[in-house]
Amino acid sequence: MSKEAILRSSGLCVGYHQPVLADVNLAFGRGQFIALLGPNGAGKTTLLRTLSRHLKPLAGQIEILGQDLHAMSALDLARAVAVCLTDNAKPPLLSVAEFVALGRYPHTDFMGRLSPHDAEVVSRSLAAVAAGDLAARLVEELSDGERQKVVLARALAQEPKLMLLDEPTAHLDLKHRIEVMGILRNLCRDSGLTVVASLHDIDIAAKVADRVVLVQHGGISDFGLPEAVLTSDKVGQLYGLDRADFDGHLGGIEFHGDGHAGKVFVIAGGGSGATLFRLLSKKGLAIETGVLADGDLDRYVAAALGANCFVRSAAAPAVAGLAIDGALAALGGCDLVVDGGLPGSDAQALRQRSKAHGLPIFRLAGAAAIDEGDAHCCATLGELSAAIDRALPSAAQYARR
Amino acid sequence: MHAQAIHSSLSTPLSRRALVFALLSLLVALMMILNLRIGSISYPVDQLLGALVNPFKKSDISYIVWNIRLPRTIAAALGGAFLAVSGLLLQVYFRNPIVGPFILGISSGSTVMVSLVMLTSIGLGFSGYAPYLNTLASCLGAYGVTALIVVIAIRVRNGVTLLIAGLMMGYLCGAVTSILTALAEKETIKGFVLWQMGSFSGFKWIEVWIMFVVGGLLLGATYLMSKPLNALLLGEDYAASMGVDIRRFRLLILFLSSSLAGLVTAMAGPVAFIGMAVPHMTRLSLGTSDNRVLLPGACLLGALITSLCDLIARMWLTPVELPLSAITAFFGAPIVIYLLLKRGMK
Amino acid sequence: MKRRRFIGAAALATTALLLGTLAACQSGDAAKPKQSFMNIGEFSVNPKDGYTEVRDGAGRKLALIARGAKAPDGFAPSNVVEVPVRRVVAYRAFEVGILAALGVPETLVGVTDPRDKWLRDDVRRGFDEGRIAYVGQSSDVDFERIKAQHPDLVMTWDPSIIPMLDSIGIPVVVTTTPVATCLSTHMRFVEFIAPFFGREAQGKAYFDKVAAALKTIRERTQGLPQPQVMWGDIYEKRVLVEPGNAWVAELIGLAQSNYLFDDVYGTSCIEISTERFIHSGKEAEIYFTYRTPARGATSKAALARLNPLIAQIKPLGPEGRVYAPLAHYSQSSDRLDEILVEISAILHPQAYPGHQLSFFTELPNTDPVKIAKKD
Repeated sequence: MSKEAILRSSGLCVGYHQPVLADVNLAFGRGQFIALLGPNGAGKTTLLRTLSRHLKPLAGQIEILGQDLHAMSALDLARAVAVCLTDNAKPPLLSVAEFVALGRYPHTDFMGRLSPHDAEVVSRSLAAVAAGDLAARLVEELSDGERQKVVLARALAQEPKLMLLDEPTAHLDLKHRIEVMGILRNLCRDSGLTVVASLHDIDIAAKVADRVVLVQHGGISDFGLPEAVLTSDKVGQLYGLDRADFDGHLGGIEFHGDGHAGKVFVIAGGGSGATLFRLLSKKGLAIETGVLADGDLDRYVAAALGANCFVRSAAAPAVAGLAIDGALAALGGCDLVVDGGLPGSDAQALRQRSKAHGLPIFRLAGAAAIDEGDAHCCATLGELSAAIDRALPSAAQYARR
Repeated sequence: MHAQAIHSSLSTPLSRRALVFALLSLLVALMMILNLRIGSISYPVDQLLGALVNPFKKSDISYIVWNIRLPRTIAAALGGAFLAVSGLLLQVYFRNPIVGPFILGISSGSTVMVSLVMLTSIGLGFSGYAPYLNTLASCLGAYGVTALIVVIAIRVRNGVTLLIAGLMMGYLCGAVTSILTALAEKETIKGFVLWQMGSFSGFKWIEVWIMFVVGGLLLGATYLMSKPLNALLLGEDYAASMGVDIRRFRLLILFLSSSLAGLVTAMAGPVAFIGMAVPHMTRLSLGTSDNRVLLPGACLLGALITSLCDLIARMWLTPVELPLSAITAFFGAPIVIYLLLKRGMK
Repeated sequence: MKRRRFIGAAALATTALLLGTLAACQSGDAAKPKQSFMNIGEFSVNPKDGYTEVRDGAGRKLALIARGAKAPDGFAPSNVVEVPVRRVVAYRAFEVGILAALGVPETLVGVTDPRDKWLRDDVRRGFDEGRIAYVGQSSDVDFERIKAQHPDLVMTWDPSIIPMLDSIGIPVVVTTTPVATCLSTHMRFVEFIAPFFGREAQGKAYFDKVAAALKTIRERTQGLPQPQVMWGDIYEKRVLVEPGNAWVAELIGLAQSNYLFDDVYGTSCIEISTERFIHSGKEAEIYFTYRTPARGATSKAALARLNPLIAQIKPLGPEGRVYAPLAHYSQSSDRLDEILVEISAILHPQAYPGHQLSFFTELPNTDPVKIAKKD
């Protein structure tokens, strides 16, 4: 795999008359999937249009495969770079095969005649996007998902080294979104195609992209591996997240609970509390939870939801005692307890203290039992949720909203 | 779909539709023959044939055939082809189906120059240019507007902006024409109104040759641009990304379309409707948007329809001539509606 | 096959319309007592008890009453005209001539052409005296100026001004009809206008003068060989002719001549195919053109240069003659009898030896070396 960058920009400044992004320095390698992330209006589309030479840069340089972008002829550029735009072109009376075949433009003769090899490429492009059966259909009659695939196929038919996509999954349902992302990732991996796509789904970007570019505040705030770049802070700052958090470990967004409906203590750990946290948070309950181990899944979910966690760190056992003490103390301020069913001395201590305070305890039937008959035992999550609603009328009101 | 199947469906589109083109060509030939055969004065077929075969034998019928009927027949066919192609080019460029060749003000420019010549005493000063004075004035007007359009297109990026500029120019020229008409002497208005309605009457051979040569070159150049025209079906941005030099291409399209429309308007006056309707008829009857097929198809269909309308215009109330633009609209509008309904019902 | 159907349908329509028009004319010719209902083509004059009811060219009914008399019932106030009219605005030069024929040129107070376009002395004098005002082009008159002239009546061809004039209380009479006027109506038009000015006797006298001229034309030309005649206009690519139902075509027929476009039907000068123009033109001996010399009809060569395709018609060659109307022709409707005689003299020069042309000019073969720019 060559180390030469497919696309390199230095000191790039993009915009229409005023600079939208300044000092953009990027380097994309072969076979990489690069996701452009950022809020609306940040300049992702402007950047893409500049890279595709639809817009002149205000300053700086761009190199495609080592050549200056602006010195390349239109045909040479077309053989190197293909685009998929947000423009919803619906040319009448054009079959899918003809539409995709238009992508062979830089490779055919002056009258656009297609050789058997061209037809082969068209066929392969359609197969790569799993749209082979659409070849005879008319483009104007396709659904959004089908059309997006066909637009991709057309770009593929150009046999580019680099593909620039502007919000390729914007109007697609989940199935097609995953399909398109999967196709692109496979192309990067198998054919060495470099894909640069502006995305809104940060979860998918985190899972699919090799590199992410954070676009905000008139420049590129970050560029690198998603695992490194996509931290809770950075994402929160990027999108101005206020009532939600992005968790880098989970690779997803969690919404903060309101917390006005009451306080609940969740006896969690070992992953037993993750689903419960979300359910309770949606009811508007403030959550206290413990005692969680440091690397526990529950710890991340709870933190993302804005819950107060009592954490036992394996590295500092001396502090562990503080954690259980804190948890027991917090029980006093809670209105109810939900038991995740985790065994262990900490959990048992919490259960006993809950009983002592007279707090109602709810748990799922399958959870590890204690022989207290006081616990409200529910067979399903639905029953559990309903039972909690009954116990906390304010919670129920909140939940019903 | 199998690669071979794709290849056969995509390759050499003309040959696949060869039968349709053969049929259209035959119809055009038949229509032209009909135009030669039928006229206000009825001549027996054998005399007509004799005059056609032997152009050097001078006779009344030979004069009519060679100087009246033949130039008019050829001019109508050529004019129809040019207008249809001109309209098609603009419809592809603006990606707008209700655009016609005169949307950018070409016919308005012609009209204002001809009104200057016919309605004011300026024309009397140039009487030495007769019988080409109207043609020259119209040409000047049409190509003057063309030049302005190209200049504006260089500065303007947006297609819609160009469209608006063209419309405004049309209105401006129309306003000047209205003023000249209001101030004109009553006797002059009749002739001007006649010109405004368009006609293939009165063509001289030099005009037919000019149409043939210049128009032929323009048509040839247009056909050579089929490939980027097809790319333009997806819009300017995609076309640019596929390798089309958009700046040069845009100017070329506008120049070719305006030149074709201007050529016909210079010689025959403003002929309405053909440029807007025939591309639709071609697209719907050939069932494709591929310009390598549509361009020749529009030529043939434009020639056919215009020849037919010319025949109706001059024969329906013969020897009285009806306005050509009225016949083209009467004839064409129902056809387009019918084709659209047929397609909508699929 | 199609062509026969075309011709058949056209012929049927033409014949039907021609017959209809001739029928309308015929009814006017029938002898009627002086005081009773008079049909003049589309116009009519119908004396009634206390007023005269007239029908104008647009089919409107107007009531003519004596000054100070009571208006009859059933007429809107704007359709009642007090006669004799003392101040009138006229749209057409034709009506201005009729006023002169009736002996009331001083009633004219408004016209739709400026002073320099008029060649009639009486009109020019009227301008100089300040009596006559130019009220704007006929396609766009200035109602303020009309009102400023305080007319008792406006004679127009444009029915669209009626609502406006109604609102300022000025009666309007429409003096043109949707179909072309035949010769009889053209001649008797004076009898339609006469009641407005109380000059029925003068109107009758004028009509008798014209009818007498027509009678002498018939007598003088009887038995003479019939010349072939065409009347129309030539443009760079188009040709127009007077239709067969126009009054000039009728006159030509009456004057023992053959009008070559008798089969063409229309309301006024109408475009025909070039090949028909040439075909008939080859037989024509005399061609009357519409254009005055000021508008380019300076010589046969000038006309031929305008449209070379028709240059070979006989009148433009040495064997034929071309006549153009002089500028005052269209302003001389009070001399219709002289005009009719002149046309006859052009058609049959041998019957009118020594006749001097005063309304038409014969075009020379070529333009004189020094061309006068305007006349």
